[in-house]
Amino acid sequence: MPPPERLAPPGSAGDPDAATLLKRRDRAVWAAAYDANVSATYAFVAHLVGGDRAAAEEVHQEVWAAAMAGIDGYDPTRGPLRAWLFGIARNQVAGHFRRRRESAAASESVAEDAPPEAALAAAERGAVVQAALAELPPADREALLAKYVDAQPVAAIAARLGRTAKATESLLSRARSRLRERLRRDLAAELP
Amino acid sequence: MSYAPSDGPPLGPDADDPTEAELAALLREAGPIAAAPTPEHIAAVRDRLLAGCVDDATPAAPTPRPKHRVGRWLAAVAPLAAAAAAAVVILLAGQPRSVMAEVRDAVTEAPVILTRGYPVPEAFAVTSELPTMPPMLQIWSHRTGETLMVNGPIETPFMVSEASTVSGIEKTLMIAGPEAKLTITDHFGGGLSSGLDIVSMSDEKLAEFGRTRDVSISEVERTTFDGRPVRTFTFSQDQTQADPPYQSRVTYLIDDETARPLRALLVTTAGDEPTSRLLMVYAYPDSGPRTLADLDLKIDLDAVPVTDLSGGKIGRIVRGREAALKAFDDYVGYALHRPQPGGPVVRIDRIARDGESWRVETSEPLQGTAAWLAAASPKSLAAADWDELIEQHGVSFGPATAGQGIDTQPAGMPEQIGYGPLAIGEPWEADLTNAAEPDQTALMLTDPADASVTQTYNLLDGEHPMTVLRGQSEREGGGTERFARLDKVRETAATPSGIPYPLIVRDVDLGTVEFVLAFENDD
Repeated sequence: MPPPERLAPPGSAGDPDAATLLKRRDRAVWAAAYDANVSATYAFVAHLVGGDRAAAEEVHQEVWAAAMAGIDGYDPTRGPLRAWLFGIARNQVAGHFRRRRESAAASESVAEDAPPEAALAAAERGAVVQAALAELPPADREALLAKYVDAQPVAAIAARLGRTAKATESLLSRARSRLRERLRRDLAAELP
Repeated sequence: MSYAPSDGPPLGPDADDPTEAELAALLREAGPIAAAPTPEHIAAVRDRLLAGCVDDATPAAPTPRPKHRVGRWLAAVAPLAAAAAAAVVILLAGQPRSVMAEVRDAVTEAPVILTRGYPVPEAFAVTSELPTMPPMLQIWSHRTGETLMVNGPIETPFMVSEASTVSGIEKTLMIAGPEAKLTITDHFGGGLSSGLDIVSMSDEKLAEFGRTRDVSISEVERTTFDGRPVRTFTFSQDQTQADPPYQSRVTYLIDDETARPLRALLVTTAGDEPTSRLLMVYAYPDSGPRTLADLDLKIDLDAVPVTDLSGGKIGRIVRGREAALKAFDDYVGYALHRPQPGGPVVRIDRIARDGESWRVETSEPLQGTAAWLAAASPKSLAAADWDELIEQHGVSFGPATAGQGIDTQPAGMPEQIGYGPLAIGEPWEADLTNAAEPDQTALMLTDPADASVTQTYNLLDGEHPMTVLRGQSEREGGGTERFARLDKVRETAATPSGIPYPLIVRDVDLGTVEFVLAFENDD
């Protein structure tokens, strides 16, 4: 069985051997692919549906069902599996909001929380960032958010994490590197 | 189609590699972190997905699942976790102002909090008193695990973290300013903490924390501790996605009378056995330092611009730093970490440089004082001997970090000790007329990766310019924040091309780091 990382390589192309096994519905390879990508795909979906847990779980389940159903169309030479899954996720989220609008129209109510397609597309970068954050170790994630979202000084982050200021600076440095690595992979990926 | 949205922060010239400022903008743009998926959802989707798969596409390969005993353990605790979750729902929903609110108020109103960590297995039984120290010596020391939290408005406009050497005792002192007062943030990115942040949350935040992080909270029992009536609250979190899965559990001992936590015990369990335990002991003095003057902390560094960089100490430092930042001889080797000088090696980093490429791998934590490590010394063993020893004793390494560029690597490599990931900025000379240690020279360096840092001073040893005696940073916005650090190079050596580097470093955070390097162009 290929290790999970082979299914989401940092390069621009997927693993053809793993793709072949995915198309054969190999249980172990699908398990590895799922385990390697579940945090990212869920975070991606959850961001796009605005944090609605019920909607996120419903759409996320549909993403993997659609991935299994459509795996024969996955071409590893066009990009890594992660980007392909994000593309499916985007379509499923769009479908989710489309259904919600249609349902609202049928009942003559207003679906105020259903964003237009353009807004959804604009939110995707945030979703990719959320997906990258979801894969970081908790301490990395907490430190990055405290520093860059909450604008907390390093000393305060250090106190919160129970570390020294210098250790926290080192932690932040490592966390930035890890996040950059993931964003380099995912932001530059070919998204359908 | 490349992903290139039209809105949001622009990416840098290399769109694949955002700078720190771009990274910050991306994080802010992304907004609050989404809740993690529940273990039940992960398992349900996984089961449905794998139900449509076959086993025979490859030779029998085991699906990565938790070990049997872990799974059995998880199955055993699941009902308990569910019961605990139900308990907290009842606890929080049934009481508009829960007992936790009382605890929160008691903690946030305490003017000074002293904490001390014990990485020992005695659970709540630790009864040793916290040291009573005059304010001057109420310090945060990584070495002893003590923390002073001045939990209230400080009558100073800035924050200070200071490391210095006083009578041979390295100490770190830290004062939290008004903005750092036990902040309760809107996101819960991390796991459980043995600090006071969890019990300091409001009812709403606590309920959200329990829901979004799958943390169960339960009031366990009412009992006595040191003759005082107390109650215990336990926060549990199952990290089922980790490999291997583990559970974190932190139990607070709350004084019934004051509603303040007296103890917190953090236990991490993987499988059937606890893998780590940390006991935090809290004390609440009535008063503490309120101003910098109370702490006798002098801001004694005044920078004077210099124009002549060729002579004297400044010249030597500039040339030494330039040499190390431009080139460092290729090497492979090890960094040996000892938290206590002369104590056991607890971690080994394997490090390598090839031109501007570098790589660091780190070992699993080494348990106890292995005899072979205790007996070995960098001074007595060459790198090749260390190779053999490490292989012989089965030390395994995992990737830590790798990259390109001598001035962009993280601290920890020998050429970075004291240099830091900083380019040489404008050199200044320090006016240390009123300083406690006047025989020092300062360079002012700027960190181009962090635009919020307006200036950084590094007090350097003129004889060994890789040694930063003290670093001091100042930032704009909301006052000035100053940091200081201390690295002390005990012994030095030189690369084959003559660049000095440290062999043994006393680091205020990390203890002692010893380097064993083999240079490719060694004779």
